[in-house]
Amino acid sequence: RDYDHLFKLVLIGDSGAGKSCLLLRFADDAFTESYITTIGVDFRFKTIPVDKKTIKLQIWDTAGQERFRTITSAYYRGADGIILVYDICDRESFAHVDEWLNEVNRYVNESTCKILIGNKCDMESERQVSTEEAKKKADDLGIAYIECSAKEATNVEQAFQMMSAELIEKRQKQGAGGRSGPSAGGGVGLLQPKNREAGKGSCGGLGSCGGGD
Amino acid sequence: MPHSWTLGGEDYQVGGSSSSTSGRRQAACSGLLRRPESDETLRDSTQSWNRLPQTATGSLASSLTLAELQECLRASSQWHSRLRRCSLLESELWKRDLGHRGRGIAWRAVLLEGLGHQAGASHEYETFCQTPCPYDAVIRRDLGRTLPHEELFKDPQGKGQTALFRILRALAVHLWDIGYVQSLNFVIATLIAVLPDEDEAVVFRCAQALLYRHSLADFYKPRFPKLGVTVWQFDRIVEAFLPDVYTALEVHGITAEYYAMQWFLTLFACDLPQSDVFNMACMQSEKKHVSRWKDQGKKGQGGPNKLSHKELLAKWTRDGSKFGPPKKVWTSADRDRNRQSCGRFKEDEARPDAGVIEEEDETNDMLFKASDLAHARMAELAEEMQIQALQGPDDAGDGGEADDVDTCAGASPEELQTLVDCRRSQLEELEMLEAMFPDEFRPLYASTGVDELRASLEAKGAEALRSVAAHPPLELLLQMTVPDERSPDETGGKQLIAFILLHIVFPPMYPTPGTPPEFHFEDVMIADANDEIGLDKVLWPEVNFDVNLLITEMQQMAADIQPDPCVHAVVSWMSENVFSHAQ
Repeated sequence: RDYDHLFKLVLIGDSGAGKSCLLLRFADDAFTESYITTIGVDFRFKTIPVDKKTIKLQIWDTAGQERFRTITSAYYRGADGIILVYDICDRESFAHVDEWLNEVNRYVNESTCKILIGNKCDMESERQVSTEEAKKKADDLGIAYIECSAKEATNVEQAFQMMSAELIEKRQKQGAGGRSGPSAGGGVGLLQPKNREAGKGSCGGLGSCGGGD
Repeated sequence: MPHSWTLGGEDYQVGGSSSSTSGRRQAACSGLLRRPESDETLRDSTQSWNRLPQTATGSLASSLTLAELQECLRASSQWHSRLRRCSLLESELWKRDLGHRGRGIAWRAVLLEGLGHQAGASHEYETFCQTPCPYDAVIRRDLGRTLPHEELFKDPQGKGQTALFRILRALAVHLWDIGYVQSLNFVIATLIAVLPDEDEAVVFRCAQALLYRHSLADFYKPRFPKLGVTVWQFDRIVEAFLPDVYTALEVHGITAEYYAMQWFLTLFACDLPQSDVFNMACMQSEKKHVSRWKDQGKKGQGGPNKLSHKELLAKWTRDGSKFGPPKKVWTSADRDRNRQSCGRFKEDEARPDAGVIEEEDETNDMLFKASDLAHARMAELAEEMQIQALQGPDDAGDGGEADDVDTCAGASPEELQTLVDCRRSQLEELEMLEAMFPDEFRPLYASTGVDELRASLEAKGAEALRSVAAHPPLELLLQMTVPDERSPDETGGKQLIAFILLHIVFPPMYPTPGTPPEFHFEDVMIADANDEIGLDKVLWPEVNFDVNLLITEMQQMAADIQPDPCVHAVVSWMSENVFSHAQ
């Protein structure tokens, strides 16, 4: 295979925080003002070199509206990394960070790598959340923090590099077993976010809505 | 293929979908979201899918009880018979590009069909869309992210975004159990784009109709109850009809959930360009016409053999049924002269020493396509008739109407009611015809008169009934252009096109049995598309046909279809068979 590690990352955060734009900037180095609302989920692959290793990232972009969590939560499962995005010009999106983490922690284990991204740092004049405040929040939560601008390509590459480096380190600590592929493991599939066979209530996002209520 | 709709059949059948049934079905289906246990199961189910006609639907069938299966099949066959009866929708709406105006009329007609004007509806809408709601911020954020490439939705202060916000908010307020869901924005924006000149309250009603009459509501309710089932069904369809694709995706664990969710939630509006969303129904028509031109190209009529799809379409639009010379190429003076010449020719022919009319001096060396001239002549004639019809009532004065009132003065209330029902049906048919024949339809009545008629239909009381009954008969023209489907080899090298101006009159009691509409061929000209003549020459039909025989057959057919509205079917039949009546 043409990579040393494959990691599955999931972008989450409030609607309008700029998840799709971050992904577009990272994957295609492009930006567009006329982006459309993400419905459900979308994904991209990107291969990057990190510390002399080739890393293939499978990145899932999710709809931000709360209503879609019933669908998107199925995609958190088996994620190696969670990228939590908020908009520095929208305090509410920052206020929801805890909520998002609670949500995601229901599906991923403690060891899953997480990062907090404050997007739109090019719009300094409209800033509602200070860097210090966000930094403190990230420290309290014990996760890394970085400010980005998808529009001006500030720190976008770095954010993914940071996460990949951390993931490599983690995987190497886990030992040789980690080399067999993504942590979800076992499957032959390219996409294996769900592992429907495993565990209770694991019939996928849409499936889970049928029986429940 | 049709049997695949067994799956969706129930939803359509039930319409409002009683929650208990859909809940049960959904539970049955969601259990099946897990894949078949083994390859054997998979293969078995694929095979049984391939035997659809005999055994219903593979893995679905195995999950249903016999009673449920029977229920599905019954629903499916009912749906099919309903479709068959509704020949308008099935055969035509799916085949042709209605054009922008026609599309608006047709969408509105399909969505709101049978729903009368609701008093206070627009007041209600105003109230809804001015009520602040918790979704306001989310809706606002999505306005610019909906159809950003469409002119209508580019300007944040523009008409499109403003209407989008107001309608989405009104829906969120009114349909509290749905609220606002991202993806509805695409659906509503598409509706706005199709009905740009329509009152917002009407678009709002169309949106409600789409959600409830066409059972989309369950897609958007919390936890997306219908989406899971639909996506699962779609996977089964891929499995059955594209087994290779299914297997390839299956290897990677990809189900429709990964790619088709937004297709269903936005009705393709966020994946396809707007024009494609509009025209999905028109693709077949394109295919048909493009292949016709391709055939022509192959026959070496000077046409290139390989044209891109776009070029072919442009060619079709230019040379095909939508052509027309610049206005006034063919003036009414030309037409009169042509008629005179034809008359003279007939006289000459009657004389034993008849010769061909002498070639006149070339006073005009500009050559025009005979078909363009024929088309122009028909357009002129149609216009003249329309002008006359609109002027008519003034000349006739109110006297004529008073007579009519007298004639129905002695009518019993039941008879009056029948007349009123007939008028209502006629108006509906006219609206449908206008949508079905957007380019051909030419009313021979003033729109204000029809508006008054509509108003009287809504009103109560004997006076209103009487005025409806006394309304002069509704008449229209259809300006038809019918290319001969036969190849030039069969017609002596000629590419024939028939231009027909058909005058249709609805008798007051139409469509009750025994009162077929009157058909008059005001003008018929069959020209050769490849022929070119000067303006000073006689435009002479290439072929003639027995108009009376055709009318007899059309009226016979109309009588068979009544009491259902018959004009569309009869006219379609006529345009398909006109050349077989040619002599």
